[in-house]
Amino acid sequence: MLKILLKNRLLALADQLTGQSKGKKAAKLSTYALLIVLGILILIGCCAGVNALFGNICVRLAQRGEVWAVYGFAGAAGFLLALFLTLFYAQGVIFEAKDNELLLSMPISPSAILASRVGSVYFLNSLFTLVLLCAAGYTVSAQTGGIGILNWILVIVCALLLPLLSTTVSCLLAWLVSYITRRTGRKVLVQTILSLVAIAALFLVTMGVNRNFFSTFAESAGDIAQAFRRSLYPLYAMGLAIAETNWGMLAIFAAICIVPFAIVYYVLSRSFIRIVTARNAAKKQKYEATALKGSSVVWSMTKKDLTRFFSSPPYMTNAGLGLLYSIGLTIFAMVSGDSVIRNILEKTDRFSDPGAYTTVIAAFVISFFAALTTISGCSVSVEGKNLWILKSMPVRAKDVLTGKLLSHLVLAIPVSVLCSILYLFVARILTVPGVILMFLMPIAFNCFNALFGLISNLHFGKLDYPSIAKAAKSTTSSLIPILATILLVIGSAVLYFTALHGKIDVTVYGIIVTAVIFAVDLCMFSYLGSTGAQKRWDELGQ
Amino acid sequence: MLQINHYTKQYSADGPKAVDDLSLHIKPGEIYGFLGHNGAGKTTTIKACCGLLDFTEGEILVNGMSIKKQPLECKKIMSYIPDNPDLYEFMSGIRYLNFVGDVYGVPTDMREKRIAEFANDMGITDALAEKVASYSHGMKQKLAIVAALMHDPKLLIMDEPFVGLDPKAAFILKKFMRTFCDNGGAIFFSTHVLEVAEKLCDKIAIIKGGKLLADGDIETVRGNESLEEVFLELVDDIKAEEEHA
Repeated sequence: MLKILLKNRLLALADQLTGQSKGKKAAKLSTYALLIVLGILILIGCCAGVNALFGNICVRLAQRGEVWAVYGFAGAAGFLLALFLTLFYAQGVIFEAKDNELLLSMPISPSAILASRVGSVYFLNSLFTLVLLCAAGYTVSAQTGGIGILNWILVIVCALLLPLLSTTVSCLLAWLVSYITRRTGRKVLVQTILSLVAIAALFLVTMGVNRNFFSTFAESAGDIAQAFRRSLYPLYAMGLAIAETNWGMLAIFAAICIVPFAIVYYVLSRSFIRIVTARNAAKKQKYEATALKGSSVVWSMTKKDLTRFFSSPPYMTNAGLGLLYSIGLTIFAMVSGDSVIRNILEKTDRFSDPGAYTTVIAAFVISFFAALTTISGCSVSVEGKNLWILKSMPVRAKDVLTGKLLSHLVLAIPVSVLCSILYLFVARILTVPGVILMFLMPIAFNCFNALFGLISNLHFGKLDYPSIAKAAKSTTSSLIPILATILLVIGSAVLYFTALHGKIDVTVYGIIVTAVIFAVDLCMFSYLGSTGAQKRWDELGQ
Repeated sequence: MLQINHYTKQYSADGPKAVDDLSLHIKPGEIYGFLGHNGAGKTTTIKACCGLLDFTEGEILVNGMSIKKQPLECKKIMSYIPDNPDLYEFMSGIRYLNFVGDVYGVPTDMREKRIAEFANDMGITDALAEKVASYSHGMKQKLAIVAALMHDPKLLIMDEPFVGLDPKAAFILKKFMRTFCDNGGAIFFSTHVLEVAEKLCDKIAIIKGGKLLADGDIETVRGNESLEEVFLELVDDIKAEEEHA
């Protein structure tokens, strides 16, 4: 029974990764094969990347006889990555799976159901850990003249043991999140806060890893390794087990991974039915009639789409990533604005008017971050099973689509304007054309991104996603507008510096780019009201 | 109010006809029941009448207007309630009703009055502040019914409207359907529950395999037999004919 459940869970996971829910077996197999090839490429990329970044550190650690630390750091990274990426997955598949009650009504033991769920979390975690530990093994091998077959076997063994620990922590945190959301009834709020905390942490780590990081790290690698040994003993044990084929340390590490996992699994399996069938403890709100406020059709559609956006943490964090990054960038500019500006000025002081260059570059940078917002890029797909509501109403495609466009722009434009204001505040470079450009260029690219995403989703988007979250996470919906806008932003900047520099003033060029993008925006906007868009809308769901 | 003339629907060019040359006429004041097995073509017909599904041949007129040529005008005077109302789960009940009011341009005082009246009838007033996601199937069905009545439609098209309703709500809905048609409205609905059709409908149509088997006044169709007997006889006759052929 466990084998069947586990197989179903892993197939569902594979379908989720490939974006396929149905299709011919041959097509599915080819997609799985593609996925495996992609996995191998990622592994090769990681090996090369880790070797390039940590090669020096590895050499220093090897000189001090502390190669174990390389595996320890890789294990720590794998543990954190697994935790970050599978926390909500664990919560979804273990505690909030829609088929829990169906399976519990069948002659299947709760522990088998739980094992299949936990097994899929473990599988994902072991993939991340395996990639990072293999990359560490490759780096050590490349920098120290090769490692033995026994070391490689221990890398694999540890890559199977360590995910038990991350799965244990994922399960406990997922249980905690479920418990809090059930007690408070504020699922969206709790998930949003957690998602934002996770993204903020990732953002801070990314920003922290600047160009000086690796050299500083390499210089004090030995001290860090000692601190590591004291505070993260399990990873020290793992590192030592692999690096020195220390069987005693392997036994300790195995015990540290297996015992907590067994305890958590035992406790969860004993209380599985109670946990997954528990009702929301939040008090029901009783409706008190109040005066209703009417809105226009377009604004009503906009409000509807905004409500949908703010009600789904995965939608917010996937489609609104650009907003978060723009805000992050703004905060970063506020905190270290002077050094950033100085940096740009240093790079542009060979030009006749460095202020103008920094303004245009900053406008391009803000526009670049606008590309990462894909709210409209999946706004048609997220209608999914609700499409009948709009299609049975006396509403034109133009109004529906304009509502979707506005729901993107009312969030994206204020954020980009805020970025522009703060940049100007920090830079104190105030020329009238420069100021106008700082505001208008990001707005033009935001409109382009929103319109392009909307139109491509209208024409190529799928409607059979089982949930808003799945539609928002769909790679095609997100990637098309992101790639198009990034290409346009980078292409426009590169065109100037490679072909037009010296032939045309940079501010004038920025204004021309902005005007052209606005013209394209206007054409795309007029398409929303065309018979072509109406016809495509009518075809949806047929 | 609703005229279906030679309606034919084929999902793919070389595939079978889901509905074949169906013609029905639903007049104001009539409750028209649409009966048939699972997969007979009821939902396909209903969706085409609401403008949700394009069709291959024929014409569907709502109050004399073509659903193909004037879909918005048609939709303004009708309402559709699907068998499984997937409503906006991220909205509260009251926000959903207000959204529907906005789209149909119902004046705010009128929507407040109608919400108060219909939500109370359906027994969902207290739950209107809650998110639709927390509603049971029956409550979603009730909310869909209240939303459908917001703009005072002339034609109601319902797909299995009694599924998931508790006895009280089903009773209220039947009473409402009668009052609605007595006031000049028209209702076209599909159902599997023959007893409901027998007691509630003025006219019925029986469809099987996309083809109309019988239609007309309920008394004419059933004669001296019960609707259940007639339904089974008609369906079995066709089945026997098909097997014979």
